Amino acid sequence: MQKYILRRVLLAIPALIGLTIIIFLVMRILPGDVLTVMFGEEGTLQLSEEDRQRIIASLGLDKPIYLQYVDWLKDIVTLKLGQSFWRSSTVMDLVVSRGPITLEIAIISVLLSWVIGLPVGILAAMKRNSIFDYIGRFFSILFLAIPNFWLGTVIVLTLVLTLEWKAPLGVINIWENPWENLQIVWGPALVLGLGQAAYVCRMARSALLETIHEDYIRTARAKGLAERLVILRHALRNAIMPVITLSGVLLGFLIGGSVAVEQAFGVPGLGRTLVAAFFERDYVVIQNLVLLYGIVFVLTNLLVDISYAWIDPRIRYS
Amino acid sequence: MKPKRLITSPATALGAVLTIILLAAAACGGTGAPADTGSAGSAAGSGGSSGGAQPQATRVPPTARPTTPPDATPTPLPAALPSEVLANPVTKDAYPDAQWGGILRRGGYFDPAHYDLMQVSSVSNSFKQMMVLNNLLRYNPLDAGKTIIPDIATSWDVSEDGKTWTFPLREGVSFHNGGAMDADDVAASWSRVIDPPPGVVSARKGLYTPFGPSIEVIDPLTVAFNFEKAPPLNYGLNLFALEWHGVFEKDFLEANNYDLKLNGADAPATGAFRFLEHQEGEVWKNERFPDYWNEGLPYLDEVWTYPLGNSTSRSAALLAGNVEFSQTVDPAAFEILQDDDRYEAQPFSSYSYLSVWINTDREPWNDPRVRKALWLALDRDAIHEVVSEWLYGYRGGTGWTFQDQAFQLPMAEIDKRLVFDRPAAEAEAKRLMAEAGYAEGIKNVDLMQRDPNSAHWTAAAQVVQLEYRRILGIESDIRPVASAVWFEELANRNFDLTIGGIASPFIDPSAYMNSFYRCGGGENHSNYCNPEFDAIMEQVDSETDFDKRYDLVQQAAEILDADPPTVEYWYNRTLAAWRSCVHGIEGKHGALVHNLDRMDTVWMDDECRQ
Repeated sequence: MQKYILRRVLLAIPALIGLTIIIFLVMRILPGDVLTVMFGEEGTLQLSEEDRQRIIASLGLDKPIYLQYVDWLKDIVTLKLGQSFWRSSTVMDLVVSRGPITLEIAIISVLLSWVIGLPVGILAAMKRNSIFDYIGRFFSILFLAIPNFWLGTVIVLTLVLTLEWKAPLGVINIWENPWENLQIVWGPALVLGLGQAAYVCRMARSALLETIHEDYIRTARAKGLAERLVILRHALRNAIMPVITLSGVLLGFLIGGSVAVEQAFGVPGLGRTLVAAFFERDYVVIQNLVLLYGIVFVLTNLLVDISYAWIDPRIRYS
Repeated sequence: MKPKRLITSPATALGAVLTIILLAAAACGGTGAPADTGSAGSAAGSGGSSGGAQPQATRVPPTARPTTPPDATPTPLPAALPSEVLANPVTKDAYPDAQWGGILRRGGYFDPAHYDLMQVSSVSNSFKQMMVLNNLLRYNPLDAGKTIIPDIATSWDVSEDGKTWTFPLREGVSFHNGGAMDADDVAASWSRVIDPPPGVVSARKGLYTPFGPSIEVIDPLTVAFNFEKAPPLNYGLNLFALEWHGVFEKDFLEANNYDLKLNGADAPATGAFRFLEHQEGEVWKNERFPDYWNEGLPYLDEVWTYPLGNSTSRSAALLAGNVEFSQTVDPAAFEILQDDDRYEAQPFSSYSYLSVWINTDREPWNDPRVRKALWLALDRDAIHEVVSEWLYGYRGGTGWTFQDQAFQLPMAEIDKRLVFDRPAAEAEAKRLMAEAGYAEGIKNVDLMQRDPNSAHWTAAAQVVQLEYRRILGIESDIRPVASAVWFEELANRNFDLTIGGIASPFIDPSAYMNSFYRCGGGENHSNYCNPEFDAIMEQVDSETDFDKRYDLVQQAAEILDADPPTVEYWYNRTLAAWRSCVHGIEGKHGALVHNLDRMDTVWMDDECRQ
């Protein structure tokens, strides 16, 4: 197992290096003037060419592209992750201050997706083509189709206009005030969770439908086992594998993909930080956050693969 | 201070959640029959489905919004107080019923890109940092900035030739770090405005340089500004009242090479509030400065500003009770708030307008007849109706001065302008195009549109494209570009026509007419050059008599009427709203910035302070 994990981690390194090259080049190709962000329209017009060069140099943007890239790699290796163009914070500061709430939203939404999606998927499979199946499929398609930022905006505006309620502003961590923290995270977690639940529901339904026609299920039923035991002990344990795979992938997407939902709900997590960094052309923040998302994605997939061995005794890594 | 909470228990929260799920489902009803794919194998590939832009301002049906300002009486704005009443009216007794204390929470824009207010023109800085500053003069917050009054100076004296402005300073003014302020600090602070060192950008330097200013320290409590050319009184007063410039401690400036981009948040200044804390992306906090020279002010204990991004978020935060004041709400929320006694909602001047800029470097746009045809052909009422879905403001075409202000044309004359007689205006536009040799229209026109994420610009671009095609036969392709690219393309002169907006730092014709229309002007995006206009502006810049200056401004405007540099179609108003328990925000149709930059006269009654 240890060899397997080590091999996977080593294999991830070229993928992450590829990611750094792509995001680094994309940020340099993007149009837009850093100086306009810094000084505004009028201010930029006042800049002499000498001033421009001096400021560009102070941001480290005067160096050849390859040297800028090497500098960034050095920051990564030393875990500094670089410093924002505009602020005193390092990217590590931002990750430490904003990361927990984004991670919390992602974890709650995955849990929600299981709590909602798994039972609905199982029941839909067990009662195939019943009214319950139709309703489950209808809602799963509905929540697949609805853009999550739109649903987020609808929720925010509906609550404001009907209950005159909106989550507290700012970041309140769960260890500081759990009730206020819950008020901040439930909205984004619900919106993301409903979208993920639709995927989980459809995956669970189709996997279970496939499994319950297997010979060993027929055998279990022939032994006279109760249907509940047949499903929970035999069918579900095998059908759950693709659901776990899917959830692992979705968790990776959630951590990086909560950008629009955080915007809609006004939650100052990593997603909103990334959006602000794009507006400000803060290359350092963008590069490092995208890399962070990549690392999270790779690690999540590794954990999913490892979990296979724990769930399915037939699987052994060597 | 805790905001009012309607959801006080998990049970009500759960109820709200279920309500929302049902609402969301109902809102999406009729999506279509469910399809049985039988497989979810492709699900993982599309994962989080999180893409998408931040929500735009809520669209509302067009309503009867004003096309012209409700108050048509030109007001000399801003004007100096008569010299005999130079005593500062901004005191703790300005509001007899005022109550002290409380934390005012405001919905703001974004985090500032850096901390030097002088080096930027962003509201993300101004509404957090102006309240920690004092300037020599200030706009009077008690009359919406219609007059200019002393601030850290006790008065002003202008020499007979208008070239020397002398300012006696207040005694006993302390910096936030306890140091005493004197004329050297004022001179150091102003030196970086008019003559910044290398690497420091004075964003509004161009307002001063035409007059050749220099600073002289007369004694520890007196400074004088000497000009090579005398600025008009109205203009000059504005120069010393601009909220973007403040007095900082000289030692701190020198220690930072006069550059406050990195360390400016808590730079020692003298304002009513001082910096308390900035949690990036979350909140900016300022607190009352206990040793403020204006005893008894400010009324508030603290002011917290949240970077809420768009106007929809700010509106929602106000309606939900998360903030007591919101800087700019969206038009839909504005209408709700206006009808609700619990809130005050008012439109404020923003000194900005939206326009179609014409690249006069290219043919045929260098032909005044073609530009005049463009100017006449755009139906200002039609475009006003469309843009009103997203913005609040008044139609363009009303003259070349900002509406509702001192140099505005009388409303009776505005209504008679040819551009508002549509059949006649269209006929004249066609005649001019024919005379210029373009009776059949113009093909392959590049119509660059700023910021495709802003729906009002997209809509305006479509109106412009359709109207010019219908009336003048101009065939254009709309080219939407991000704001940052828009400035690059302007600098490279890579467009035929372009839609964008500009703003003036203050409301004096010498400020905005020189910048927008004069040859080489800082924001002359058309690169328009008319020697006759420039010659009139020379006189506008030096005439000190208001009536004579008004006539000169109208002469300049007539030149622009005959040879338009741009097609201005919209004068912006900023929609601000606050809870009724917040007081001291004065002046309907004044400028937002003049009312709210300092916050020293804003107070809250018991309802807000609970």
